[in-house]
Amino acid sequence: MAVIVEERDMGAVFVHGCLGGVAAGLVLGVTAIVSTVALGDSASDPFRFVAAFVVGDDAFSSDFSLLAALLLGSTIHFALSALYGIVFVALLALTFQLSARAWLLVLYGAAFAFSVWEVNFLAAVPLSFPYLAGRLDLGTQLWNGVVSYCLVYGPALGVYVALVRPGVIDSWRGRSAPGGTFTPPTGPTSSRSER
Amino acid sequence: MDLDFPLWIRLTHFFNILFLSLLVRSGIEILGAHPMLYWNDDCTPGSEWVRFTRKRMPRGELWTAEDEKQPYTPVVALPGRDNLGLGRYWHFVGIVGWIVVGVVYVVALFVTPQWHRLVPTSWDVFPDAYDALLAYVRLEPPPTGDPFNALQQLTYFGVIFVLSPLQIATGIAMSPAMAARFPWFTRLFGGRQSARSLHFLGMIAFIGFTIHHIALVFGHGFVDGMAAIILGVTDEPTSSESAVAVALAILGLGVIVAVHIWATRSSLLHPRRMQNRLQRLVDPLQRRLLQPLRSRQAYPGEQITVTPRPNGRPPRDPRYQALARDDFRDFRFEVGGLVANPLQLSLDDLRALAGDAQVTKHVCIQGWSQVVAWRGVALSRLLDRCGPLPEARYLLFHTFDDKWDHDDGQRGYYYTTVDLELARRPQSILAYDMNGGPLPIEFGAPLRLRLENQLGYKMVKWVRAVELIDDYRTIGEGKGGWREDVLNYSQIAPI
Repeated sequence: MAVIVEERDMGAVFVHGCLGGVAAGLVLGVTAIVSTVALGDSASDPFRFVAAFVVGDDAFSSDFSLLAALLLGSTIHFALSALYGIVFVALLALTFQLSARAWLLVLYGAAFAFSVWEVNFLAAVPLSFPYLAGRLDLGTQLWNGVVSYCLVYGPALGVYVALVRPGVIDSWRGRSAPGGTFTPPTGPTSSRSER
Repeated sequence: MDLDFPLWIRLTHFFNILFLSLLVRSGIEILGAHPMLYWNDDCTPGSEWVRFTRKRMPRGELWTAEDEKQPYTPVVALPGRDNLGLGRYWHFVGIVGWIVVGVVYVVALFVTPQWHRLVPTSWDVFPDAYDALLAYVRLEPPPTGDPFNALQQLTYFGVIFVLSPLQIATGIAMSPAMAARFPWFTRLFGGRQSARSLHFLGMIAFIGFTIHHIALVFGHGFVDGMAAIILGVTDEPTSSESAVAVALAILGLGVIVAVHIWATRSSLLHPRRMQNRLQRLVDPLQRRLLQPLRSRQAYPGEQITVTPRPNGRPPRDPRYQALARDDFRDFRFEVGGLVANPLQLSLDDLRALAGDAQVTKHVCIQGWSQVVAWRGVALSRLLDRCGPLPEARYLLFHTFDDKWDHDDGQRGYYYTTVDLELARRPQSILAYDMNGGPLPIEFGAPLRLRLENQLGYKMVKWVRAVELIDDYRTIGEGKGGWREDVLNYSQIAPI
């Protein structure tokens, strides 16, 4: 009997974690800009907020150029997105979920993104970047935080894995039901006459 | 009200960590035996909502639930490496310990003023919890409580008085004996497989709670937290109290890790010895609490599973092959051992006896289930005809199943033993028909046993003979059956 198994190639996990993370990070970044503007702030604020991880509160001063904020903010944002993407795909691989149903992958993405939001906004910011804590009002936490993470970044990661299926053998794709057929075994007959 | 941390809270907290961690790891072992979860009791392949396996079963070939098992590493599973029998024993030991700790905790909680720490007494707890949640989100200091703020109080209350009972209830609902005697109880959760899914989701909730609980301990002050939960010091601890608390925390964690390492290594290296140890605690409890439950199953015909799963590969024993080729016309079922009248009965003889029909749920020890209609002869009727001698205590079922697909067939023929009392119950039958037709070969033709309050492995297929005996400890490796001998299962299987 030929049982086929899901591949867990760490190279594929790394590559697709990066790609998925960057793709999801792009969607998250656009969402963050839109929601920041909708909340009445400057579109550059998300870039300056992330750049402040490195340069501190100076990132919000007029001396810190927009170009520098764009470059530094985008670099850090996509680096973190890729890192979390690798973690996500690695977790899926470790728990045999690379071939999970698409809706489940989206759900996993949302749950994972909630954890990322907790780590980023509730742990990393107050512990490592306390000067940013005052800039996280409720609106920012809600729309640029938990909503954007759970409804955009995470689901985007899940959709990427559902579309690409890293580590899943090609012949599995497109099958909604894995299934098995209960074919009669070789040997004695399996269909017995009525008595 | 000034609530401190008395010794009983600190001790139950420690043992709660120990038993919960044993439950989670052994639960993962059990999940690996059938790493799929369903919301339907038919378990048709492809109808699962989630799977935790890298295997994809082939189409067009016979495969069985045994092939679907996904061994997990001993790092996460107890004991790991496909040891369902010992995983179950550890799970049941964990349950016993956890429930004892829980009962002690809850009783002590309500005979002291400590219940105030957990039980909300005003509807204000909900808006207060919302305010506390906003404070956490705004990175502001959360409101102080007595001793917990409203969000903490609601969370702890939910975990202790909602999630924990739900885990116990869904666990019990998976027992075939419980489902056979009180089908309504299993239906409360939407069926056996829904209960299994909810049980799994409950475990995820426990893990999520634990992660957040630990994170908040660090957030609120790790050293102060350790001083409170280990030493009972609720005021600002002195430096020496802090040092002792942290040292004891590390030591306590080390003890728990050591228990896990010992349990895992001992189970993998000396499985029989561990089986003997664990069954001394577990088997008497399940024999007393669940084994007496009598099946009252009568599922309506429309609930019969359309595509039932076969499990186990048909025998290659030449005697069986010859009988099967001739549609079992020469088959003679033998009844012997400690009986007054040994019997030899053909299938026609058995059919000539008054037959019993039943539509029941088959529950495999691995986790899947299905509803099947059976027809056969009641064991009690056969026992009445053969006349067991007074010293007879068990029925030893011999089969044609040569287990050719297991370890090169070096493990002997499949057999099982059944208590005489269980055999005499209604719905304990030798089935010759399945779903309105003759029992198919892959489901156990010519005869298979049905004991409707037991797990599937007790209901042997391809039955050849039954022998009444007074003791099973001299047979095989003395554990009461092939799976009991080889896979460390229990001789009784009501859960």
